[in-house]
Amino acid sequence: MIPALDPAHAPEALDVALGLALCVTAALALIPRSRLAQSMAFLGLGVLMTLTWLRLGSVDVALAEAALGTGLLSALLVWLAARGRPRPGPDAAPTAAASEAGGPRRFLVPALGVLAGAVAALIVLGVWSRAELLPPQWGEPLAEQMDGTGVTHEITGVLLSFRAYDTLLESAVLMFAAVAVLALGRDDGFHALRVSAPAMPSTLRWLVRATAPVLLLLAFWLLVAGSSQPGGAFQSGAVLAGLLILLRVAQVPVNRRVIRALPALLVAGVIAFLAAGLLGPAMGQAWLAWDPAWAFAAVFSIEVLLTCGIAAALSLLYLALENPVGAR
Amino acid sequence: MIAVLLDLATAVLVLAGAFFFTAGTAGLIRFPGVRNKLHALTKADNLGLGLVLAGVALHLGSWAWAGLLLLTWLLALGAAAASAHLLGGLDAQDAPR
Repeated sequence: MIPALDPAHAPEALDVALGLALCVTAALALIPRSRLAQSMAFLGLGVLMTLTWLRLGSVDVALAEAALGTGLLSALLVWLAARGRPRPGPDAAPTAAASEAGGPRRFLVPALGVLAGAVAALIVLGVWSRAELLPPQWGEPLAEQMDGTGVTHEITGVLLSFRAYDTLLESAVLMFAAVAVLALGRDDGFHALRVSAPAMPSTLRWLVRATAPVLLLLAFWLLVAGSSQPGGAFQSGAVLAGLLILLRVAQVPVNRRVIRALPALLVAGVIAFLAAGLLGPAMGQAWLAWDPAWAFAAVFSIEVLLTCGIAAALSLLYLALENPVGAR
Repeated sequence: MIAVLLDLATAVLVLAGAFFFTAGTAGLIRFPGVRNKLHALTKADNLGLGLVLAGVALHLGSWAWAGLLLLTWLLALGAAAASAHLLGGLDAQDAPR
């Protein structure tokens, strides 16, 4: 709905306002000493970033930012702000001592700050003066090569065909993070499921039950839309993980088989990706190369299983927060 | 003529929505107590959101968009009502009056 920005045009008032709001929110996310204030500012920053990406015409990135920023980050950050008690900072005492100590050290800190600021400004100015604003040049070559990818949406084509190796490694990083979380937790990482939490009012449970189908539909739509429109595995997986977290918070009982299947789903995406990548060498082609004949089937099955893997990994990261070993 | 009237109605709706949002924010800052703040936030802001979305729907001039925006508003209403109920209940537990 927001018209995309044409790089050739001068920024409008809306862009300037958006940029200023981003700077102010970023400052609010860093400067306050309270975790709660920082978390709230960071979540607001996510909303503004979503609008900025939309304005730049990157709908896929905007969707990912919205799904991760609202579905996942809000749960993680609010949990940390409300439940995680900060330990007394190890640097609290030395800082107080340093500020009390007078003499040359009192001037050293501002002087070093000014020096560092000047150096940084010089470097930025040097880069700025040499930078040329060129619109991206990959539009035409990309359009020529799209036929072989099996999908019509360029971003999905780039993610799962032209740079499939990068995407494979990204999903593997997420998978290993969740595996580490599972390994460090008690009860295979599912300890949170045994700890009883104070009961939530039935209103919340009713609302989550009523909105869960809408979120599920949104996740499926994002997944299926990914082949021809903005959307795809990462966005869909983030929405699914957000749904699982919401159900968990509202204490809606989820079938235990779904929960127990999470570790298997976690590795399914990466394994399917590797298996599909090996199809190429088996048929005498390059590693991770899809033949146009079955490119769509390969890309779509990878997307479906990757979505499961991403949703499992992200929701396991949240479940581990309530693990008494890891939480202080 | 119709286009001008539509633009005018859009402007009136969006401005009225912005007014209610401002009133809700003022209430959030000025009112004492959690439940008073929630009262300002849920009532005024949700009305403001409804008015802004109605203005946007008029501006876009399509039933499909209007339905989508209505669904957005209903979901926001549900989320606001449930979270306000939750927070108000917690506040009432902490300080029974």
